[in-house]
Amino acid sequence: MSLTATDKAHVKAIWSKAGGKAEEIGAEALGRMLEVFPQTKTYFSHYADLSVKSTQVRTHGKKIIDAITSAVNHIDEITGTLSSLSTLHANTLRVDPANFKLLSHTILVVLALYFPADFTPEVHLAVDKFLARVSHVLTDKYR
Amino acid sequence: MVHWTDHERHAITTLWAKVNVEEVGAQALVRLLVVYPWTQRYFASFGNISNAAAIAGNAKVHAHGKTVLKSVGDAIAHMDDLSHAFTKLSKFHSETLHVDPDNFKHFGDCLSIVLAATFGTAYTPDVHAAWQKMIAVIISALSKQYH
Repeated sequence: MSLTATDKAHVKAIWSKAGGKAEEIGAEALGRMLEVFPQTKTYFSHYADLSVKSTQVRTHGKKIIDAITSAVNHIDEITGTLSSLSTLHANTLRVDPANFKLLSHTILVVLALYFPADFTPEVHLAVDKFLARVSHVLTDKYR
Repeated sequence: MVHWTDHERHAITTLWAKVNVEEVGAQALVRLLVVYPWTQRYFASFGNISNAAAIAGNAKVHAHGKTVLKSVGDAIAHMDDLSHAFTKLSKFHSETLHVDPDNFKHFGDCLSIVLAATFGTAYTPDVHAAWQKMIAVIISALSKQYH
């Protein structure tokens, strides 16, 4: 399900607002994933506090959003842009592929929460496709 | 039988009391049809649903969204025994409507997103979690009679 020119425009538009709140949005998306889908906590057994307010969750959440921002900024070259992150996920992190959908979902929920007027059904569609593409690139080297 | 904490019950019922069933139902169904266009296969009789604008303005989509959300209300009223309460509805989806149960998850995701857009920061992580659990329970009950 490849990204159309319209999809790319929608993603860039909403991300121009989201990118500036990277830590907040990242913390909310990651924290909500951990709370809504508790099985994901298994990857963070080394964190003291798994809530949205946790410093560790905020820092890591920001890292994730910043990486997505770079994919947005190089939306025609996602594979190349995320190549080393893809290797990291395959060899070191080894997050089960099922979990990418879970974090993608909470990112969508948080975008809807923060930008209800901008997160129209068409923008929702575009971002859903984009995050699926990012997830695909990140799991591409798994086997 | 699902175990619900008092906190979860409270989170679900309190938010439900504020939901405009017609509005939220319509928005969730519109999103389903726009974001997962293959779901349009079940709505051939609805007239023009060929693009996002048509879907958003379609009266049958709005009416059906309300119908679906009313069932969510029924689910909440029977949250302690939903598999049993939804036996007929599950059979209906399987044997009459022939809906692929994977689509229930897509609708559930859209509903959670519409709740977030509607309630903003009131849709706190714990309320969000309680609702996702409610949605998962509904999906399980609706899928139960498939064979």
